[in-house]
Amino acid sequence: MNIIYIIGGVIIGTITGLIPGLHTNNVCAILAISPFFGNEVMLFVLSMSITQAFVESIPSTFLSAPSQNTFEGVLPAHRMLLEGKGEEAVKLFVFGGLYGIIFGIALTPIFFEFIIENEGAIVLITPPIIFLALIIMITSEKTINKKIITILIMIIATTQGLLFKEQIFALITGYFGMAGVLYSLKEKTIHPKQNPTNETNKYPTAGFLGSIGGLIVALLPGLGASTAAGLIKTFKQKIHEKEYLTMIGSISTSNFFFGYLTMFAINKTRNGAMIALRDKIFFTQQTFYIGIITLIIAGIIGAIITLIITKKAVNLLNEKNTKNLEIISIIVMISAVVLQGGITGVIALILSTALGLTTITLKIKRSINMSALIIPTLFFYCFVLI
Amino acid sequence: MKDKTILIICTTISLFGLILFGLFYEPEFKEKTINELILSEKEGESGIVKGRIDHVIKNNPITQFILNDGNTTLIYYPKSSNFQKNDFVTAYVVRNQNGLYAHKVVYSE
Repeated sequence: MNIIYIIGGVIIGTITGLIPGLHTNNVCAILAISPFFGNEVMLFVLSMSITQAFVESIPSTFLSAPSQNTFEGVLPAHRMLLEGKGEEAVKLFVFGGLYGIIFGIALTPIFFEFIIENEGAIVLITPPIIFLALIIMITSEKTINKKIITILIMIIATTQGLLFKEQIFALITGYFGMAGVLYSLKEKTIHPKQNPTNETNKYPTAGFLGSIGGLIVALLPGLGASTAAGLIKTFKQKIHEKEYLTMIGSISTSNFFFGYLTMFAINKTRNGAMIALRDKIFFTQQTFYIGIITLIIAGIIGAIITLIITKKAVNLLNEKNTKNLEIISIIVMISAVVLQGGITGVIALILSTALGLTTITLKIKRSINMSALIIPTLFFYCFVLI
Repeated sequence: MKDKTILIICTTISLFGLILFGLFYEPEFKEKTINELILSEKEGESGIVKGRIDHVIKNNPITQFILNDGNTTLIYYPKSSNFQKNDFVTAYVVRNQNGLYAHKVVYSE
């Protein structure tokens, strides 16, 4: 009987993953205020979230419509798409996601112990790590001009984050989804013939590094997959394009894995799906293991579905279809923001899209827009929590 | 549309956002009374409340106490503490469905 909830979650996760602008957090927000309770809700939410983590690599690669988790991988994925290796790009992401789950399981006992014993210390080390991430974002730009522009964009993003602290969805949609799609609409879409691939992923090290990134994202508030990837790149300078996509895939899924563990270990989490789950389940050992098994089963199903859809998408996507899908995704994104945030959400979306487009046209790293979340979090830790 | 035109339009909109920030931004934690926070119908409303501790329910492993600033309320603070009756404290609180949740509580100067 439980398998029905997993299948339901996988189906909804596939839909939210395929349509830019939709997110499992929207579904979780509805579930959080619903009367549903118990392990069934958990099976559904976990399956949905982990499936989306895989499937969202498809629009990120083929439609220029990345999510908060995948946008950092968009440039390498697009380069591969233009070389006729779009399918291989998605495959790398999927293998990365599977590595994320494997290393997530392997690290579970150590992580669980660590987080329970060091909860207080984590609060103390959060501000310096966030600050380090910000410094890395600035110094990773090559010229002085770009560094200065990065600081200015950081300031503007921070003001947007502080002003629209209840419109995070609209901000993220604008910075990464809307800005990317609008920009690609103006470009002439080139879809070279895509070559089938038999790539078997040989980048377990990148997968392991990604799982460390997922751990960072799950533990430290304000940091996203992109910032974690930036932190890792600081310590491992030369990361090949294919390794990088594997790493982003791994961060994406292991983040859910560690988010789930954090919720069980200290009853705290920063993952939207886990926040919705927290008041819906009993924290028993049996529930914990059911959740882990669900993540593994749904993760494998999500990976297979992503590979199947990619094979179909490669044949279906031509210039006309891509443009039509991009227009549909813009309509969905605007509708989702209006439904969720009303007129304030729309204002937040306009401002964040403008800033997102500014970073694209100036060729500045788009992860800098995450300052809208990171810097207010830093303020909160420095002035309130500590 | 050329990149330069997009850049000019987007920069103008972003700068307009700075003006909106100057006009409408309100700090998350402002000094408020217990009454203001309790009467607020908004879940997640936050503020800084100052007052005297009327009664400490427990100090360990978490702290729960009744704060009095003319009105009284139960405050939940998820850490252990040494607070005692009649201590004057400042609490950074958020209103949730169970009452006032404190992120930080310090002795008032």
